[in-house]
Formats: sequence, C-alpha cells, structure tokens
Amino acid sequence: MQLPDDTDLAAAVDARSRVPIARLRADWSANGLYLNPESDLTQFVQSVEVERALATDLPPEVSLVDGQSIAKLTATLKGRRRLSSGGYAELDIAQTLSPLRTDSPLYGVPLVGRPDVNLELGLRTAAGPRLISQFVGPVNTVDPRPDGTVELEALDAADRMRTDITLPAFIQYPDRTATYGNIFDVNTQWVVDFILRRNGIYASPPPRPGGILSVTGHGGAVAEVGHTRPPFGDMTRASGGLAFGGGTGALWTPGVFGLLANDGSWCGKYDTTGGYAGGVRGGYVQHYATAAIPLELGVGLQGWVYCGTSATHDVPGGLTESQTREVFSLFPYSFPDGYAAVNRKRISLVCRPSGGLGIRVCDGARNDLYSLPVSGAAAWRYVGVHVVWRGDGKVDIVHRVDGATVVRTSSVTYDFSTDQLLLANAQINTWCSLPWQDFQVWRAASPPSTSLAEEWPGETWTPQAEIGKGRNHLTYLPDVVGADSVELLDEVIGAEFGTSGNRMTDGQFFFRPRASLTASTAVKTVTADVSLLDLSMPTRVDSVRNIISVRAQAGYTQYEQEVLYDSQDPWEFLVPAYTIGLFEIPITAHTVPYLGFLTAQTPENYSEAASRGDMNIYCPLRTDNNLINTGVGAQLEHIAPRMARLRIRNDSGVAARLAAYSPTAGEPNIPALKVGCLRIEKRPEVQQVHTAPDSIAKYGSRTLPLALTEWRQRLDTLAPVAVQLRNELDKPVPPLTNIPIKGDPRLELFDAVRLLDPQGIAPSVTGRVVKIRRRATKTGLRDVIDLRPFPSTWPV
Amino acid sequence: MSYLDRFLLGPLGAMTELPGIPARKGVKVDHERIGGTDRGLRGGLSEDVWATKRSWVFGWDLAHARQAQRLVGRWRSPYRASALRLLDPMVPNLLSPDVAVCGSMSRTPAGLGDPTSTPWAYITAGTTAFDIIGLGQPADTELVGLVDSCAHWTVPGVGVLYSEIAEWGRMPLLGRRTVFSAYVRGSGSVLASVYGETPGATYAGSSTTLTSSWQRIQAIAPAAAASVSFRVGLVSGSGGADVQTIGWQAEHLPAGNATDWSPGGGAAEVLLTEFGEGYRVLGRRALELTVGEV
Repeated sequence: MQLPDDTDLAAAVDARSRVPIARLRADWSANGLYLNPESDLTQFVQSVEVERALATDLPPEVSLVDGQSIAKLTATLKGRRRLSSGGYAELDIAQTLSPLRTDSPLYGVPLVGRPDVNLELGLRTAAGPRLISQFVGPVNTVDPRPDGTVELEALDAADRMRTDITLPAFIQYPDRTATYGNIFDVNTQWVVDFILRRNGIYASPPPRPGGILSVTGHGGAVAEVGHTRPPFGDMTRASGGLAFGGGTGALWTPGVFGLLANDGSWCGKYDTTGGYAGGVRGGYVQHYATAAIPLELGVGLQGWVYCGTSATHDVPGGLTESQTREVFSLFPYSFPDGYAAVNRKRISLVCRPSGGLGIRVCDGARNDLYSLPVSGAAAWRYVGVHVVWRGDGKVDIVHRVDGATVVRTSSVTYDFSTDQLLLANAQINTWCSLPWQDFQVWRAASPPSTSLAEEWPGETWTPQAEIGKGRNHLTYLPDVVGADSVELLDEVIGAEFGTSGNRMTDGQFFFRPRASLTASTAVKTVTADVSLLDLSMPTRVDSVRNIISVRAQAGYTQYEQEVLYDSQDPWEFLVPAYTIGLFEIPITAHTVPYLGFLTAQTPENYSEAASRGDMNIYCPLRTDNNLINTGVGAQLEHIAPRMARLRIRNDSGVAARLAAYSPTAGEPNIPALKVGCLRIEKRPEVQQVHTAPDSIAKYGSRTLPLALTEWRQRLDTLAPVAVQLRNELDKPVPPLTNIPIKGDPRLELFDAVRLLDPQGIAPSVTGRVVKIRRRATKTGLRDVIDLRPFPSTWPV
Repeated sequence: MSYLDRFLLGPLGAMTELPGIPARKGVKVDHERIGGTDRGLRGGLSEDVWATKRSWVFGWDLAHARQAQRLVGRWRSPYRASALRLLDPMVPNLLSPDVAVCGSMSRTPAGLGDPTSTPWAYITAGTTAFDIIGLGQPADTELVGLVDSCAHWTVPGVGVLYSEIAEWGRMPLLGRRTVFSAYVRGSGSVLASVYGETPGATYAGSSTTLTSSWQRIQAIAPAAAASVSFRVGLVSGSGGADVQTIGWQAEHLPAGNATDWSPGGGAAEVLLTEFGEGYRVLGRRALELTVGEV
C-alpha cells in the first residue's frame, strides 16, 4: 500500500464522488529525466491499463503468493499536442510517433527498448492532488494507426535484462569442521545480485572499469571479476569452539545497501605477527585476480568493512595492537618466497584487536604495520587504500576511511624486486576477521581522485535494486553457460518459491524470500455497498496439496587434485627461443583449475613424479633432447569462465618443448606437462516428504513434487519452504479472481485486502492481492483484482 | 453593456464576432461531465469525474454569407499557430474557472517560477499553499459554499503571484476597459495588477494594507490599452506579505468598479467540434456550429 498514512487521500479514495487524475510520460531522451518536450503524453491518453500479476510454476489452481511479478502497461493515445505558447502542434501523436516522419521532433530517436514509460494515477484530495507512480518500464511497442491513435505498450524493466549469464565455477570442500574447508554456501541473494550486475543493475557499487578483482560478498564468497578457489581454513573460534558446529549458522550478516556481507565474527585462529606463523590459519577464501599486480605500477583496494571500537569479531584476549589479523591480502608474486612463509611478500589490510585497521607492507625482510585511524564506534565504513612502490624503494600509501584521505610515504625502503615472478593471476585472499562486502582491487598509478576532498568511487551509492536474503543455500554453483538472465532468475528464485518483480512506484527490481501467507490486518477494506462491484468464489478441490516432496543433491570437491590436462605428445608444447608460448586449455563444468607457476622437474625425474601423482609439473627439454637448466617458466592462467591458458616463457636461448626422458632407457621421450584441478563430486540425491495427515483424511492424497534441479541442494534449507507450502495448500481455499472494485491507486501486489459484504456470500474475507488490472478510462478508475484468502483463517 | 452582447470567436488578437443570437432560439450550453458512475454490489452509487467541460451549440437560420465563409474557413483549416478562444458574454469573469477560485478546483498551489508546469498560478518569490477555510469565504459572494479553500502566499519582500503563464492563461483585452479584482486578507501589503503582454504594459492598483478581514482590491486597465491580451497578478509590498486570496475576477467594464464575483470561464479555449451549413433562404445561410471547451 502506497501512502497508507495519507488520510486525505484515503478519504478521497473512499468518497462517493471522486476526481481522478493521471499523468503518463515517456522518457524519450532515455536519461531518467523525462524532460524531452514530447515526454508528457497525458493529454493524449484515451485509456491506460496496467496489469500486474504473479507468475508461478505451480499449478494454476494453486495460486500462491509467490513467483515473478510481471507488469504490462497498455495505453491508447490520440490527439494533437496543445502548446503552452498557444495553438496546437502540427503533427498529431500518431504522426509524431511514426518513425518515418522526418518532420517529427522524435525523428531518429529510438522509441522502443531504451525509453522508459512512467504512469502516475491519483485523485484530487482536500489537501491537493495526489499522484502515485503505477509503472516504470521500457517501451516495448509503439503502434501508430492511420486514424491518429497510437497503441503504446510497455513492459517491466525486467524486459531489459537480456544479458547472457555464465556462472563462475564455485565448489568447496565438504567439511563443516576444523582444519580444511570453511562452508561458504551461496545464498540466493548472491546469484540474483550477480545476474543483475551483469545486466547493469547495481544494488551496490559497480565493479571498477579495468578492475582485476571484485568480490561483493552478498551471500557468496565468489568473485564476480576474478576467480575463486574453494574456501580454505578452519572454523574454530579463538576460544577453540567451532563457529557453526556444522549448521547453516550466520554465514552471512546484514551489511550496507540492504545486502548481505561476509560475516567476520568467526575468524578462527590468529597470528601474532601478521602472517600465518606456525601454520596457524584463519578462515579465508583464495581468489585470483584477472591480471598481475605490478606494485611499481600501483594498486588500489576498496571495500566496506565493519570496523571501529568493539567491532564484533572473534578477538582472542591478550593481543596487543601490533598483533593483527588480515582482512584482505594481496600477493603480487609467486612462491619462491615460500607459500606458507610468515613473511611472504604482500600488501594487506589488517584489523587490530581494538577494532581499528592497519596496512601491512611485507617484502620478505621487513613486515611493517601502518595503522589506519578509525575513530568512533563500530560501523560499516568505506575503506580505500592505494599503494605504489616507488623507484627509490619507498612505498607511497594513500588511505581513506571515514571520508578522510591520508597520504603517507614510508621512511624505510622495501624490496619488491621485479625479479620475482609476477603472477598472471595474482592471488588475493579475503579473510573472515571482520565483516566486509564489496571488495575490489584495481591497478592504477594514482589514487582515485587528484583532489583528496572528493569521494572515492563507490563511497556513496544509491542501490538500484532491492535484493532480500534468500532462503536457499547452494553448496556449489550450478553449471550455467550463456543462459538468458530472466529465465535464470526465474529458476533461481523459483527454487525457493521466492517473489521477484519490479516495484510499482519506481520500476526497481526486487527479490524477496517467500513470505508466509500468515493472516495480517487488512490495509484496505472494500465494501459491497460502494466499492465492491462483483465477486466470485469458486471452491475447488484441485487447489489442495497435502504431500510435498522435496529432492535435493549437494556437491563438494575432494581435497586431492584431479588431472585437468595431461600432455599426450612430447612435441605438443614447442616454444621457440625468446618467445612466450600461449596454449589454451578448455575447462569443463564445475572445475577450478590450479592457477600459478608449475614446478619444473628434471627430465630424469619427471616420469617418477608423474607416476607418484604429483600435479602441476612440467619439464623443459631442448629439441635435441638435452636438458634446459634455466630460463623456462610455465604458468597456468584463467582467462575466461571456461578457459585456462598455459603460458610458457622461454628465455633459455634455444627452442624448448615440454618433454622428459622415458623411464625405460632407449625409448622415445615422453610428454611432460600435467596440470591439476579441483572437480565437483555430487553427493547422492536425498528426498524428504512433508505430509498433512488431517488434510489427506479429508481430501485424499494430493502431491506437489518439488523436482530435483541444480538449484535444490540442501534439504535442511528447503524444508521450511516445503512446510510453509504444505500449511498453505492443505485446504481448498478458493482464489478470488477477477473481482472488480473502484480503483485505488494506492493498492499494490501483496497488500492485504478485506472484502465486506454482510448480506452476501462473503460476509468478511481477507486475503492478499496477487493480481491487479488497473484501468483509467474516460469513465474513471477501476481495479480488477485477484485475491488469495489467508489459509489460516479459512474454516475448512 | 452594449458591446458585451455578442459572442466572439478567434485567436487572441483576432477575435471576431459570431452572428447575433437569433431571438427565441438562443444558444444551448451543455456542461458535460467526463467520467462515469458505478453501482456497488449492494447498490450504492458512486462516480469518478475527470473534468467538466462546456459545449456551445449555435444555430443561425439567417446568417450572412460573409459570416458563413469565415466559419467555413475556420472549420476547414484548423488554425494551429494560436488557440481559438470563445468569449461568452453571459459569463462576465474572463479568468478560467480554476484561476477564479485560486486553484481550489484543481487543488494545486501556485508553482515557483516554473513556467513549464501548469499550476493555476506561479510566483516569483515566497512560498504558496492552499488553506482549507470552509465557510470562511468573503461574505456576500458566491464563494461561500462553492469552495472550501483559498490560496495562501507568503513572501518576504517584493514578489508577484501571476495567474497561469501559458497562452491559455491569457485573457483577451480587445481594447476594452478591464477590471481585475481579488479578495485578500492577512498581513503586509499587496496591490492588484493587470499585465498586458507588451513589455511594461502594467496597470497596477493601489497598495493596500492587509487586515484579518477580507478586502477586495482591484486594478484597472484603461480602454484602448496597447496590448492584445493580459493576465493578472498580486504584487507584494517591499515589507512582504502573508496573504490569503480568493475570488479573482477579471471583467470588461466600460465604467465603474468590479462587479460581484462570479465563477470564471468567460474566455474559454475551444475547438470547433461540429459545423454544418444550409441554403434555405435566398442570400442567406443557415449555420449550425458546436464549440467544445478543450
């Protein structure tokens, strides 16, 4: 219900004599301003209708309050524009909207697809006119007729969401307990947000142009720009207990922009130096950027972090301020400095026990903390950092918190020697030490703005969509390649019977988890005396469903790497001297390739290592079968969702190929490249049946099977949805369809409405609106609504 | 009242007389409601009314050929550079019905300096609202019981409250002496003014100090004023004003002060909706014309 507290409007709606008003505008300039001189179409409107209904996969007689809300506007226009300077326009509206009229002011302007249409309806009230936006969506059809009329049709903004979607591969280890695998089950919100972002609808700041990593954290630890490995680390708290004990728990916590954030309150163990001393790890997710991080070029990172005094995180007692835990870590270089080394070269945003932040700069020898002042209580803060390693060895750091930018230069020098091997896909970790969201990394020589008083991009943001927390959790991301955005949204949201659509007033997309049809107080009463114009109430047994069966199938990866590519030909990878050989390797579904530098073997040792099961190994050999000692490096990169690339750099001075000696003397060379990956292993399918015995006794068995799809993976998260469905469907509650009432521009889908007809068939019935057809014609405003009565209040 | 007895039709600046109204035949004026009625399931009646518009049905049995030709021309070639206006001599108040009650019909406060919007009036300074005053209208006017509100304009210094700015908000001057009157009360001082479209053609009344009682103020444009059309407005004194105003009237009066207030609509913008011609009497034309308010 729009403007529920406006008593003047309420009085005007219920008055016996009403003066409706309408405004129809088209944003021909497609800039959201509706300022084109031809934008206002109000004076041409002969009639206009907006139909808004919930579409659902369920049988039609089971009209539940769920599904995708679909809206459509149709208007009939006719007439000649009255000019405020007097007189009338030369062309009538049909000629104006004809794409062939070169004398039309709209000649050459795209009339369909791009421009939005906005309809407002309202009434004159004692306190002035009240208009309520009824529809915002793109023009779909403009149909000018020879008689001067134009049929205009507009659809939901969803009509624009036609980008093809390929989901990244995301798999995780099965553990919900210590040592390996954190559980980062993906909430529906992440998938919905991902699809919207691919379509240019940003509930939170968009990824930076040219950014090399973006992880929104909105219910998923999966990178939207970049690549994500299975989450790693353990789930123990500082106190030693398990964070979630294997349950669903609060994996995701409410963040900014009404979205979920990565919950940081269960970090696991801490370290005392800022590294991972002694193999002690917290929970983290390893991401790979889409490109290298050359520190001398400059790198920036930003994110929303929940920090400040007594920010909720799992801080062990007795830590000093210098004992930090990492929030984001950037590793520009490869392993020669040691994978698990305390002082692996990196730049990190860290948190301190006080709830404040800091930046750690570690070059292998030095490991320094630059504290980042955070004043005040715990809150969501935009944090931006930019780091450049200068020619003189010092590091310039620019950081921004609480709207203040600080520029500083280290007094000491660091050795980020570029002799170190640059990773084509630089590793970047996100940790669970503080709640965070919208983490991004980009390469830039200077911080975002030259004037430091300005905001950094994304520091303020007006959400372009409303995306709720879903009820479904996914253990892995389904295999989706090149899918239609709208159809995919239907699948994702349909899996948990959520609702989605475009808001009536501003056309913004919304996703809301399935709301229970529990009785609530009506926001509007329709009386048979005046406003209820007709009623039908057919009770059918077809609407009863008293057995709900749910099927689900989870999937996890194993710890052991599987073979992604095993060379079968000793001449397959031949790289001339002083060149870089690039070889593409396709990736199948649900596969996370090993990224980074491969380990070189000697020609003598390769076959032994390979037969031992070693992965990610290769052996460079001269074409004359002699050993190459140095100068050849091999690295696996991720270049597209389904494509990896082997990069072989040959600085050895002679042509090189990947081959090794056969274990049997005298035999020909064997191929020598083996790259590993992690693959999904689906668990056995499981099924659960929810029955309503009372209903079966009354109406017989009627089953609603919830089919197995890749979007149904966990019974425990789907069970509440199934139980809710059962409770709502176990009685033959009649859907009240096509009920004409006096038009009420405030009324919208999901509103609870009460019909009052004391002398008739429905003395009093309250239900939720699931469809509205609202017409403004010369005879006034009329609504035709479908109402779903609340099952809990239904007598039998 | 000698020249007020003919209907005039045409764009501003080129309004011409329609043939005289035939005796005993007269003019039929319909007030059509655009809207519809509903019966509830239990019989209750209700209505939605978008607007009420007039149409004038003229019939002349003995019109001159010249008059017929002029109307045929208008009918065959809609004049688009400027809107047609119909001066109805039976409706003395030339302002539009909404302006005559200061926005009480449209329930729209005046807009602030935005000529592109279409409120009943716009202002150059200050703020506007409309106040519900019920029966507290100026006594002895038709306003009591007709509207329940008045316009409220608060302005710190000098400012103008103009009637609507668009072309259809201008009234024909026709070289006639024109009197604009308005009821005002409040604090500060205001004066009424008539604005011709020629720059500087302003005919202001005298500044009046406001009190808590309704006063009627007026401004007079003399006969043969230079402009073709005019609009009206209130101007606040340098000390500002907090003024409630209602009951605006602009009328053509050869002499004297403003007459009793009457509802507006005397110079409606119209379209010709039906036209027919007949030859029944030698040398004369039988004409039928229907004019609709836009």
